[in-house]
Amino acid sequence: MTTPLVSMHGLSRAFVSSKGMFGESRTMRAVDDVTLGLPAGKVTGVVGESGCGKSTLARLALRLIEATSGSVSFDGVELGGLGPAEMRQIRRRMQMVFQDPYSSLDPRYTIADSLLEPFAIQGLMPVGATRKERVAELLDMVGLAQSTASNFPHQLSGGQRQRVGIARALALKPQFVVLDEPTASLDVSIQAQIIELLERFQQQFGLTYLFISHDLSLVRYFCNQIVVMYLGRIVEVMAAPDARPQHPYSRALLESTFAPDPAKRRIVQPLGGEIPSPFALPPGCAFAARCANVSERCRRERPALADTDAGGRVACHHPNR
Amino acid sequence: MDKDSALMRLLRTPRGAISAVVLGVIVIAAVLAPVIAPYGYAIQNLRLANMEPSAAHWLGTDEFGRDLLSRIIHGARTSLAVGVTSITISMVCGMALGAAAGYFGGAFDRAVTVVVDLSWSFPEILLALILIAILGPGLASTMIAISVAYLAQFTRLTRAQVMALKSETYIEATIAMGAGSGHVLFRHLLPNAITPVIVAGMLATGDAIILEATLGFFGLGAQPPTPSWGAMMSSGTAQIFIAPWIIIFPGLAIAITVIAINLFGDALIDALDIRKRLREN
Repeated sequence: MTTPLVSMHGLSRAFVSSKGMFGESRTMRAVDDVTLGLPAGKVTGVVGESGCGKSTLARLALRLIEATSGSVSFDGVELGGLGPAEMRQIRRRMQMVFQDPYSSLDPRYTIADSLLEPFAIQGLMPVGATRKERVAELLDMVGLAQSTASNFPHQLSGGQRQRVGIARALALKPQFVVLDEPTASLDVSIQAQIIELLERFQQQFGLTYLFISHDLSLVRYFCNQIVVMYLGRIVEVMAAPDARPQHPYSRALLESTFAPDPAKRRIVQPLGGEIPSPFALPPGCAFAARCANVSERCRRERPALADTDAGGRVACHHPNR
Repeated sequence: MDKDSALMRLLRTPRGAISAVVLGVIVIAAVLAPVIAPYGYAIQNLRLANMEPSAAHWLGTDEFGRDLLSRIIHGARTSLAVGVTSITISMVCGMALGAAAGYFGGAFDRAVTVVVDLSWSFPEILLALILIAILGPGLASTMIAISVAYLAQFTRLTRAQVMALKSETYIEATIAMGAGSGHVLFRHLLPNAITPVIVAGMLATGDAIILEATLGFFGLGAQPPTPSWGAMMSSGTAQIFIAPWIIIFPGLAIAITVIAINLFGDALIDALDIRKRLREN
């Protein structure tokens, strides 16, 4: 395994919500004690249902929100210790593509303005004719017509806007890109084009991706390493995209994916039980209430992430071998 | 989306076109007052006191024999100057306060919100009266008083806009590119928040003109001989039975101006399609 470009160590983020002025405050651990390395030049996928903390993890990785505890280091530099000027410097090398292409572009900016904004913010604004060239290159790179430059976002389709979002993220030639469900709000036909585009850039520029998704089949297609999250914690890391999931939750997730070929469809065992409130997690395994392999020990003792024979890690007392 | 087409849409509606023409006439009259007014506003002629409207004095004369039309034309200067200046000051300060409170949040936001809510619970006229009691009557204190009276409104509106825009993904994207607070506020938040604030300012100018007239009526605004519509109406009350035109015509001037401003503002809201955003406040 290559050395990680980004490593997270014991990373946690808690959100405190208080009920009114005098109500007691409740703490939700959106991300809890995550230790994970993102190998350079590889794609790491993070899957889990909504609310499992995957988007929070993405924002922590880029220090868009501050961690409650733990650390993130990028290329050996700990992000938490950087001042504003150093942080701005390092942001050139790490970027993000957002889920919602409708709100990720300022409605008052033309596409050219949006594409030039990273240069402006970083004090790298090209002067004179090179400015137009830059925009032309970026549009060309993501397969958009040159005439798009003078358009406003509302004149473009969702897929076109997402292309602009990708071009903007890649404008400063970053090494690390977080993809926060980049296809979730697009039509299926457009999804494939966007994924293909992202895949091409990954290979062309040797990018390191952190790919957030709730679509396990897409993650299996696209990623080199798969991380499964449940209620803020990593329950399983699969070292290869085709590895057999060992955690009962990962298995359930995988079984729930839709197979286009009717012959390959299985009878899906729906998960029973209830998701525990993220404000009051049980003392043992968070998945115990819904798990088929559950034992008394699971309700008492929280399983730690342990290495598996397949080179991954799993947090389960009774994994499926 | 762009400004030109919104303005064209505005002028194509009867409401927008008529109010724009009326406002245009009032503004031109105010700017060119010394040129177009038939007489000086302070020239007294006691032999011609309380003359009814005639060919020589279209709107009649007041109790000192001054030409009413000339005084109303000059009065437009006072009203518009006070209305526009005080609302501009109020809007700029309110936008700065509201944007800072909405963007940075925390203790500063709570402090601003408490003060704004407090001042919101007083009628504007009461706030203005208190301030003039402190500052003393006059044109400058009228402007300051009106600015402060309307400050809460703009602070609230800007704060609400900024809070709503703050969670847009493009703000997060800008931060991910390495932008600081200044860039986020001045390049993204304020340009997107400004339209409803300007329209609210337009409408508040009408209210401010009424407030200025009210203060003038009480003798707290512009001091004689500077003509002010409110003060003119006030002096007209004494002659209401012998020379009713002295109180009627300045009153009409106020009404027409304020109605024109409100109609124009209303048409602007529709042309820019921001009625929903204004109501959120």
